[in-house]
Amino acid sequence: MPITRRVLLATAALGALAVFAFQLWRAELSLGDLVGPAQFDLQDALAEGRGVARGEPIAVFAPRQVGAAVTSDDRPLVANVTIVDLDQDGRADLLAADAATNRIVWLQQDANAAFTERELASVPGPAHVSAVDLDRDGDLDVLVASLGVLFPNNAPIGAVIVLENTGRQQFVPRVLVDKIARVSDVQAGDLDGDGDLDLAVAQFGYDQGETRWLQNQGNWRFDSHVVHNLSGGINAVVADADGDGDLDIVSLISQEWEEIYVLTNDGRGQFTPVRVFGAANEDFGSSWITVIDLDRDGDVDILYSNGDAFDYAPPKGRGWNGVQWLENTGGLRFTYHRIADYPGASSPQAADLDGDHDLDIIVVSAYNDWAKPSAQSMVWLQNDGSMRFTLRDLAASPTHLLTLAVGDLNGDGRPDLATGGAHVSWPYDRLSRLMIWTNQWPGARTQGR
Amino acid sequence: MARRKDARAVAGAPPRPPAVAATPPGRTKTILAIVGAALAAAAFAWLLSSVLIGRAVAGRLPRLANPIADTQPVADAIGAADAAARRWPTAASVGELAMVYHASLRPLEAIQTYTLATTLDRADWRWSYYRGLLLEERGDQVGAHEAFTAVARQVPSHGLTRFHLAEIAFKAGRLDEARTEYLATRTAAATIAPPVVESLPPRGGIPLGAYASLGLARVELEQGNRQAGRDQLTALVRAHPALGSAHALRRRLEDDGSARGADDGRAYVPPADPWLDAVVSRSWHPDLLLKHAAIAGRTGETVWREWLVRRALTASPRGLDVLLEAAATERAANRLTGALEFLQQAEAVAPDDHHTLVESGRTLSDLGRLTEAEAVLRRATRVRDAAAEYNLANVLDQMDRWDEARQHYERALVINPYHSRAMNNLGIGFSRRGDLPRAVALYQRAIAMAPDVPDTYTNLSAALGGMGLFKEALEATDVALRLNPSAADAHSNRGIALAQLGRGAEARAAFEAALRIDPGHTDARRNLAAIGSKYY
Repeated sequence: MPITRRVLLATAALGALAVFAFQLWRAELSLGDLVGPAQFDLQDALAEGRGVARGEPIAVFAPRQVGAAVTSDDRPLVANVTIVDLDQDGRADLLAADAATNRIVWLQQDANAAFTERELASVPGPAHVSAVDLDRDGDLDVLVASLGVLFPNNAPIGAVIVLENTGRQQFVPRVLVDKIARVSDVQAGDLDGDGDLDLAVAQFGYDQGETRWLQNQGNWRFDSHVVHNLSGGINAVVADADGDGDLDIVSLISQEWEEIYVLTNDGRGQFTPVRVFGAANEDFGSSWITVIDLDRDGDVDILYSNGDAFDYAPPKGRGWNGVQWLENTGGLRFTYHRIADYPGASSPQAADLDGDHDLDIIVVSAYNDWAKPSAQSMVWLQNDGSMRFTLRDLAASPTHLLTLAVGDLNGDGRPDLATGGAHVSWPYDRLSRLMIWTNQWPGARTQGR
Repeated sequence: MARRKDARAVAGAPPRPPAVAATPPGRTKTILAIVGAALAAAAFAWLLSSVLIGRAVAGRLPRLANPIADTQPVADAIGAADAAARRWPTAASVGELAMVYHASLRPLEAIQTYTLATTLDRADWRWSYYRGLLLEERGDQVGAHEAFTAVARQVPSHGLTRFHLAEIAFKAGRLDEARTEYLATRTAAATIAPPVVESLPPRGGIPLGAYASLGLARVELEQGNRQAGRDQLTALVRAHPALGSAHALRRRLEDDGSARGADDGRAYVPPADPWLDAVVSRSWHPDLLLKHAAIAGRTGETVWREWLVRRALTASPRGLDVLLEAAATERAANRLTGALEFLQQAEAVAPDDHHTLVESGRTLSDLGRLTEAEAVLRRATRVRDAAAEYNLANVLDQMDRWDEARQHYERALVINPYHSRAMNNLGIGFSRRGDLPRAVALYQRAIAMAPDVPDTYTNLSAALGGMGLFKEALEATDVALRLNPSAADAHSNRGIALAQLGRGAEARAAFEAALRIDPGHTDARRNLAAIGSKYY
């Protein structure tokens, strides 16, 4: 071949190769990528941590309605449920904040596993209920957070109420503080290190709201200290978040702020707010936090759901709703991990449901797309032991589940569930007020937290 | 040595021109041929690689389910965009597909496809911007920050990008970075032309700079500069009274317990984003359309709201949430008959939904169709609901069936002890029937629950005046007029109180103010005439 032609061909080939290589580099592809198919599916998203694997639905819980019967004209609205042996007879009971009837109710379990409902007190807009021996007299008292009214209201109608257990399962209401921005949560802990139990209080309010703590001075006297001024408080959880040996307050703030704070304690009840997470999406819909050592590395993490939908009429979940956890990496630094999308996600709890020695997550939903029969009101995020989760459908009926508690209800060592329904929107064909879900997973035993 | 003479010159023939550097015609052609071949090869290689890369990219597009599990309009939109992107996978077609996924609330597919579009055309920053929005929406602040940073490198004057970077930095506690970005947002020039979507109505709203100022105020407060933060917020609420969050923060600092103004309670609305609007304009997903309709409802952007609702109705004509939003939109425009039509369609979808029945009853009442309203609201009260009881009471009140109305107002208060409108209406009923002390007590309870409702203060002033407590009545009208300077009744009541307190000139001015607002105000006209005869 004449030299000219060879030069010609060589130049052309080099030029083409150079352009080709440049194009591949620009598109971040390799030669192999051009050859075979590489279809995107959720596996890619999973690898990048943006989605969750879906497992087969699982039916390991036996559901049962407990408490007052529900008729088709009822619109149950249970804001909070907790599992606790209130009468300390060795059998777990339920305590519930019934916001439809403005009552705190106790479902006392007997030896035949029957639950008898009893009203403990009338409380306007009860949002949170728990049991603790506040006066250290050996029996459990009941702590109640009162919103005044569940629906938006900026008036100072909130209160913190204790139902003092007088010793024979009689409960006497004591108002510790009232006429304040609406109260959404109250939890007990020794915040000033003086040996008695103080209270951390979240106040949602509406335009105005705050977080405060009530310092126990004995004889049912409490001094009030406001520690943070932001509306939208949902939870005020007492935990040692910074690992320094004293109890801090972990606070979830919703409304347009959508932030999580650790109010760090100096050990004497002086708190400094440190923001550990904030969503720049003002419509994120923060709904709940549970503070727990999810990865079992010795420090507390934050399990966090976003699924509130009260900004919409009728309320309906959104595509960015779901569950995430903030991994405690020390020094008040938390790394965000999105676990799953789940419309209307609320009240995530952690427990070893399948007895494989890691903590799974169970979540409920009050605002899913209920017009679709397959929309789930409860799901299980099964941990594979390496903090990778598979989502398994647990229940599509009843719908509108707002609150969830985990505990061993029947003494078999397996964690069971209790749920409360909040039927604030259509449809009303799958109603529930209070339900228990008995764990029937073979081999699962409660591992403790 | 002598130059050799040209032989021809010796022989007498004309001399040959001197020889020049050798460039025979063949070599030029060779060079040109080589260059041409290289260019042709490069062009061919460019074309071929573009096609191959495009096909590789198309191979990475999200797998399309068959059938697509969405409503038909959404499925059609995704199907069409997907087909176009696969047929000719350019940055434009792949980017368009990403926007359709985004508009169809398929965030994972959208994020992936935006990434692919970016690889095809790195100069087009929009794909990174949209990806940032999606990641931010889902709480992935780190991913969002990376995406927005890439955009800011390309277009540093894109205000919205700087704002998102500021918000992310603030949330992460990087306050100095947040301050820098908020300042950059404020000074960002509006030189980036937003996308033009022909079908969209023009948008208004609070300027982006105001949001940046709000962010700066928060930074100041968080850094302990209370005075600086307060100054920022004071200036902000003066310039942009509709920014509710600014009011809330400022009032927390002031803490003077004063009554709120009408703008104080406005819910937060995000800044307008024409790029996001371009996504929304492609949407057939009712949830996305209704989300933006709800925002438009808060900002009072009626045309935009109606556009979104109409589109949602096309996508989901029997969706309960769509029908209710359509009814609410009609009500907001005072088109009550239209609202009722949508509510009746909603009732057909959800006959047992008491919220729909309450809205229908309310609308019938506003249309003056009280008998029908009563029937509908009685159905709603089968469910224990304060709104149903209150609205039924209201209808019975208008029908002059006070005893029944009173029962239902009281039932509303049993269900919701803080129902301020029930308190107010009960107060009016007692006031009309001469039980003024009871009326006053109810108005005061209502005010404690809702201290920013001017009508309650006006009603209170009337009752106090009826009891001869004119000084207190005057104070009540002062508050009413601070909340609503255009309340004719409050001006009139103020005039009465002033007249009774012997302040005739001021009373006259008050009655005249009432008549300027409402020329048909009979009480003000009568009292003005009475004042005229007494004092002048």
